[in-house]
Formats: sequence, C-alpha cells, structure tokens
Amino acid sequence: MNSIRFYIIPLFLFSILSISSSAQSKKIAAIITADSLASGNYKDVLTSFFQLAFDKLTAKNKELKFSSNPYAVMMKANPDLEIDYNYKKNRVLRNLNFNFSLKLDSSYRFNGFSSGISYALINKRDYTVYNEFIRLAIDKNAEFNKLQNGISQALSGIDDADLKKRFREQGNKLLNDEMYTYDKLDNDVKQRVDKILLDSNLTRIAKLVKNNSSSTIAKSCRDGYNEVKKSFQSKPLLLLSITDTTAKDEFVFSNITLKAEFLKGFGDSKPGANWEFSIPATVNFVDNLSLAGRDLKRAVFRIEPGINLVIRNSGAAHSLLEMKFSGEYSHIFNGLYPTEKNDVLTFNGTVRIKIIHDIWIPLVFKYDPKKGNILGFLSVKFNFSGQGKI
Amino acid sequence: MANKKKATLKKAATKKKTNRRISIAKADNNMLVSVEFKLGSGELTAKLFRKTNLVDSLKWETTENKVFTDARPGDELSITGACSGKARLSTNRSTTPASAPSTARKYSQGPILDSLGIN
Repeated sequence: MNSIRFYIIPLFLFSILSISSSAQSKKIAAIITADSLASGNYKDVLTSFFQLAFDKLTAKNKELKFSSNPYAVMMKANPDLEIDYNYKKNRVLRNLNFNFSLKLDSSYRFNGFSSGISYALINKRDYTVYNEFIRLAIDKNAEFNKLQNGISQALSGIDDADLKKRFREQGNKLLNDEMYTYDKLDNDVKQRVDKILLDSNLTRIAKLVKNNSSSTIAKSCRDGYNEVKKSFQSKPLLLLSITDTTAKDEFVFSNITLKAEFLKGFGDSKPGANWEFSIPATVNFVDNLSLAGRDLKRAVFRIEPGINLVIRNSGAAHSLLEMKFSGEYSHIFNGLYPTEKNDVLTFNGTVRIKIIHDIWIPLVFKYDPKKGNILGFLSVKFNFSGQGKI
Repeated sequence: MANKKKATLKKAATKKKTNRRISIAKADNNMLVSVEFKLGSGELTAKLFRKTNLVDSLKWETTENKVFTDARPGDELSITGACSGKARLSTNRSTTPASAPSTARKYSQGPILDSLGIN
C-alpha cells in the first residue's frame, strides 16, 4: 500500500506541474515583485502577508496552520503605514511573524492547539528598505536615465507640435514598454534618439539597438533592475522562533519548541538556478510519557543542515521548483524511552513544486540509513501577499 | 436701497479679488511637485529643461513636496530614478501628460523614467 502511495504522489505532482507550466506559458510576462522572487523555502520561514498550510497530509498527525505578519495586517487597516517613512520605521514589526495551528489526528479530529512567534534577527533580503539597493539600481541603469534626460532636453527645444507629441509618446514607450522596439520609432524620432545616443556617449544602448534593432530598451532597463534585486535574494536571513502546543483535552502545554534557522545563498546566481544553505536547529521540550502526569521533561535537540537548489524560470526569475537535500541529526538530552537511541541520523529530501502563483506543494522524504526506512510527508502551502500586485 | 448698494459693493470686491488671484497665478511660475514612495524606498530626480538648457534640478529620497521656483510653459521636466515599492508624482500645473493630484503619475516597482511638458 505504501509503495503504491509513493508512485502515485510524484505522478500526481508532475501532472499538476505540467498543467500549471502550460498555463503559465500562455500568460503575459508578469511584473516581478519581492514576493514572486522569494523562494518557497524563504516563504516557509518568513511569511509576507499570511500563509495557510495543510502540513503532513499523509502523516498520522496532521496540522492546519495559519501564519501571518502583524505589520501586513495593520497595513490592511491603515494604508498610511504603506508610506516609506512609516514602512522603514516599523522594521521590527515587519520582521515579526505569528502563527496558530490546529493539530488533527488521522481521523481529522482535534488533537491540540499550537501558537508561536518568530522574529528575523538578521534579514538582509528585505531590499525594499535598503538605500544601497536603490543606489545600485540607479547606477546600473545610468545610461537609461541619461537617455531620458536627453529626450526631455530635446523635447524642450522642439516647436513643431506634431513632432513633439510623437517624440514624447514614442520616447516614453521606448523606455517603459517592454513590447515596444527601437525599429518601431518614426524616422524623424529615430534620428533624434540616435543623436542623443551619440552626443551623450550611450554606448551600451547604442550597441543594443545596433546589434538588434528589434530589441527592447525598456526590457534591458528592467533586467538591470532585476539583476540588482536578485543579488539581494542570496543575502543572509536568521530567524528565531518559539512555538507551544497544548494538550487536546486541557489547556496545558504538551510541547514547547525553540528554533533557529539560517538561510544564505551561495555561488553565482545563474538565470536558471541558484543554491542556498539552510540550517534549522530546534530544541523540543515534550511530555515524558514514561512518567505519570503531564510534564515537559523530555528534551530533544535536532539540527538539519542542507542545501536548497532553486530552479527558476530563466525569463522572469520566478522560483518554480526547489529541491532540498539535508542531513538530520537528533539527540535526546533527557527522557529517553527504552526502545529509543540517544542519537539518530537521517538523510532528508524535500521537493517543493509551485503550482500557481503562491501555492506550493512540499513533499518531504526521510531516509534512516541504519534501519533503511523511507518516510514521506505531503503538505500544501498557500502564501498570500498583503501588498497586492503592483 | 441700502441693501442693494451693499450687494453691488460686495460683488465688485469679489470680482476684484478674483482678478487679482488670476494675475498672481500668471505671474507665479512656482511649480509644486509632490512625490510619494510606498511599500519601500525610492529615489527620484526631476530636471527642468528650457530650450534645451538645464535650468533647475530637484532630488527626492523620501516622500516630500518640493517647488520649482521658475517653471514656464514650454519647459520640459525629465524624471528619472527607481523605487522598490510604488511611487506617485503629482504637480499643481497643467502638464502633458496630466499630473494633477487626481491624475498623478504612478510608477510601479522598478526604474522610473518619465517626461512632463509644462503647458
């Protein structure tokens, strides 16, 4: 029965992936936002607005989890918080997440309630508040800014109303419309653009249009911006969290988890794929079942260093598929049961597949080299952006 | 009779006030430019060109109102920069394309490149 399940699940996931990728290919290229660039692994540790997750669907103990960010919720009620000075001022709130979850048993009956908070102690990925990011993005597109200045300068000297109107419209499209190509310019407008390119020594743009007159200047400009943005996606993130779980029949803690997770991208960020280190470590305090009554005397430490491979859509740089390979070591400090071992080592694999926009399906495999067992867990995670599509 | 005289005087005073306002507006070349950044940071530079010459330049690094003291019809405003969230620019003058607060220029996350002709 288990082996059938292992064949069916990947088959189901790949059929969904093929449907979603064909649907995505028909769509017009969407604007990349901070949200769409973030990897699924990043969203699992820091939620942008809220995330709804059905965890461990195939396991004995299931979980329906809601995670959110207080600043995003406040922003929905007070749009003034969107303004830059408020946005920058409330950095602490934006780096804070809270979550609630309902634990369910195999028959989907209530099996406890859990809640927690997490805080991003180091979050270098939030490029939206870095002046350094804006400076780099402007420097990267310095030639395009010069071209805009040249167009405006030329416009201020034109008296012919018709030429002025066409030059303004076509100049604006050339710099902002990713579908508008240089060869679509009227001849008299093209002559003026060529003169600006020559006079202002804009060699990068001149080479671009000379090599391929159907290339779009606007796309090249946006690519420069996205390149700077992508470089921020591999910066370090350190998250600290605490989660508690209550017993199903009374309001007492049956589990307290302290967790630290570190993420950092490495290697050259290629258009199709990039790598990320992920090191989560937890300490669990749970009820020792071998003792009478309820306590939190069983302490388990777990660390799972791993490497996450993010496969992106090369054109839009959206994360489509992610694979994480990790080793898991656990050590029981206190409350060891007679049939258990103090130290356990397993090798894990996680495949995250993006279905559409912000719906992810993570599939986790665990391999115990000593026992030779393979376990699998299937989840569904929905991320909701509080900022809307810009 | 006295009331009628009072009303005529009031009407004349209002007309005088309106004419004065129009003449002030014509003489006043001030151009108020409001820039607002949302959901992140941004930087925007506006350069004012007259007959191909650069006459003034202003820079925004946060949400703020700034004034060009000598912006005349026929001048062109070059707008360049970038924002990590959303940006909005509005002016108190008639421009092509329109940039009044109700028809403000809106820029999404990314590079900002625009040109406004002052009417």
